[in-house]
Amino acid sequence: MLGYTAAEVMNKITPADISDPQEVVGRAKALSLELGTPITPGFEALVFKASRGIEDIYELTYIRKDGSRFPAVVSVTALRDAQNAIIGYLLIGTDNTARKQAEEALLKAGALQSAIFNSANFSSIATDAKGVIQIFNVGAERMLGYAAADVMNKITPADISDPQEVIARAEALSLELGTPITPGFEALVFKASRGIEDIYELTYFRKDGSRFPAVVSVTALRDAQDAIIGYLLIGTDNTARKLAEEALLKAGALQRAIFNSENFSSIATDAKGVIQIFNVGAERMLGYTATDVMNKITPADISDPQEVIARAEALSLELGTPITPGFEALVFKASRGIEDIYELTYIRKDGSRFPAVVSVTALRDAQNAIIGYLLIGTDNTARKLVEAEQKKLDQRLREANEELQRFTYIVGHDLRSPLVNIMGFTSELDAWRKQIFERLGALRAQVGGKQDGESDEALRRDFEEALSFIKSSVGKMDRLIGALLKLSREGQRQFQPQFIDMSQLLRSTMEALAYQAQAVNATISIGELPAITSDRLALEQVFSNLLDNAVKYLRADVAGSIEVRATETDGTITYEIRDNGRGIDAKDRERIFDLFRRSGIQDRPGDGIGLAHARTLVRRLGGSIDVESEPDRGTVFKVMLPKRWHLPESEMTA
Amino acid sequence: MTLPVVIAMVEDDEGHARLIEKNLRRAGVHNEIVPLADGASAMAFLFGPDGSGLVNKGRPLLVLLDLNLPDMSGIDILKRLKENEHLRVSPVVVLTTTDDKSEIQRCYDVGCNVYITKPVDYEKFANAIQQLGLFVYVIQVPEAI
Repeated sequence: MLGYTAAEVMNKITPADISDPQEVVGRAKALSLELGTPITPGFEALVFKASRGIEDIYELTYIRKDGSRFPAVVSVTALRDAQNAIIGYLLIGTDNTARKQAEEALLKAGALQSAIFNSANFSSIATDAKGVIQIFNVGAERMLGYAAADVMNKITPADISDPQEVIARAEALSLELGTPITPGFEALVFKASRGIEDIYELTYFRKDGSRFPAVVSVTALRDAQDAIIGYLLIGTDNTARKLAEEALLKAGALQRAIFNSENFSSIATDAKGVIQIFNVGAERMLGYTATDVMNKITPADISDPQEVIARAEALSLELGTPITPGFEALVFKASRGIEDIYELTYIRKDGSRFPAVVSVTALRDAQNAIIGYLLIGTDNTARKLVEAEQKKLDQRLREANEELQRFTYIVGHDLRSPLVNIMGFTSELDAWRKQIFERLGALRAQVGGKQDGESDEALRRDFEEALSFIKSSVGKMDRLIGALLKLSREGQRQFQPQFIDMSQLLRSTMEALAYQAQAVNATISIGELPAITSDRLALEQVFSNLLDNAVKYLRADVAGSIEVRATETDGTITYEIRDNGRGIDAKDRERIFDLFRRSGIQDRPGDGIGLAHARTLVRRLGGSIDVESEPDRGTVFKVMLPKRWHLPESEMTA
Repeated sequence: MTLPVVIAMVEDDEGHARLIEKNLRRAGVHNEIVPLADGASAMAFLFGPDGSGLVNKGRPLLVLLDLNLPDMSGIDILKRLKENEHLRVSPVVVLTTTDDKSEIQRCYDVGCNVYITKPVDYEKFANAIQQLGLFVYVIQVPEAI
């Protein structure tokens, strides 16, 4: 107990030397008074009563070798020889610590426990040794929604606890204590039954099935023989603490980070707006030191006055109450408990300005009265610049696009004009050719010369061939120009989003192709397709083109089968047009979307415009088009479109 | 007695002018055809030196008008014609390569009487002009007021 070895103290010191000197002095004084005789503060004080034959048991603080102290109960006996002369003393001490603490605890707990037991804020549930509820106090009734009569002598606390948690607790305890513990009431009280102090978190179920987190403290109730006769489970509703903890966890770390960050200006004011805190970020961004502004100005004084006025007017209108242009305009929403984040131009100490995004929170005391405001601002310059740059780029892109459209249009027409001449005069030549050969024949006949019909005929065929090449080329060029003009016109057409029943749209497209499909022995099947909001004409053109291609490029040796299906994910619909046709060579899969480019054997009429057109339309509708194909097996075109398309801002007409 | 109709052909492309004339003649149109190769000479002929149009008063005129002229837009000539108190009664046949629907609509809005597209396909071209010739042959063209 005392930390000394026997050798260290024997024949060297007295018990007074290891006792609290103050207590020895105190004891000497008290005994002197009690017995009416002066007693020396020292060993005498410790044994005086025993020396007088008075039974003596007292409390005393011993001091250990290491200087630490402990309360002891000491019993002193005088040792006497045969002649009854005192030859020494025996001091038997016991460590009093545990009892001392128990007493203190009891003193406190007595009052506390009765308070707890009668409190509506604590659920006190007492059970018998098997766990059956015997007492269910008002707090338990209030928290759990059961009347005492509902549960007493009927169920155990495990029956109103989350079963998963009871199982988990049983498993954890089994592991911790190395002994199997049944998941049930035993799991709730096992530690207490072993005399281990036990406080844990647990989810209770209310009578109505709702749940709440509780902190439960368990005590074993024992009879005089220390046998367990039951348990007392005292629970407090942990909901508020849990919520607060979560909020603190979230807000605490974030707000501290924000408050200490140079990238956020944190300005706290009193209720009137006078700045009380001006963090490093605010100093850096605004160029003021905290002392320049603290207790001097409000955030409105460093904001663009025009914007403050405008904001006051807008809010007055919005909220239907007059708002002063000034600090009030900056915090009015926050003061009404409305979340408020807005853009504002701050003015630096040097007069320069920067756009900020400001978030405002009202600071409230425990009674929920507003004691101030916290304005957290971030510099919005970079975003503003990016936005402005983006606008410029959009504008330039739009202009370039319009110019391209006009260019295509003009070039288309100007190219067509000479074609009219080439075709016109070629046809005139053709007519004259006939006349020339007729006259040639007639002249030969007139001169009665030998007929040279064969070489005339050859010459006539050469003429015919040359003229027909010119004509077919002009015809081709005319078609290409026509296509260009059509594309340019389509590009200029204003799209109109509308709700479209796609199954119906595809069915009418299919009907328009019924003749061609029948001619090549092909079947087209349309699945259930999700409806879409998009431009109807554009989608008709896209899908009619894809279906037309599917019918056009089937294989001669197999019955054609074309399927249209769709899948929908995250606001995007993917329409698939799948055929078992001739397929597209890998090298051509990107090329086919280029204007005037085609793939495979050129045995079908076409100018290489359809897919280029389809891709342009789909892109304008905010989607994309892809192809998967296996030569001689088939092709799948996938058209991905937003489920709800709306006109981009750049295409809105004023 | 009525004066024969004069055809003012506003056409900057000489080849087109020749083809139009040929086909009109083939259709039996023997009326005088005044070729006007640009906007300025068309304006001078139609509206006269004072620009009033008085110069053509009492003359039955049929205007063949190309829209794509090097110095001005045919639509502007059409507008001026239809706004002119003397010439607004003269029929205007727009004859051009443009087949754009909105362009056609604009011409009719401004007051053109007939709009004909010049097809590249010569057979169709010849056919269109010859039918126009038949039309010229049969219509009554009022004299400019």
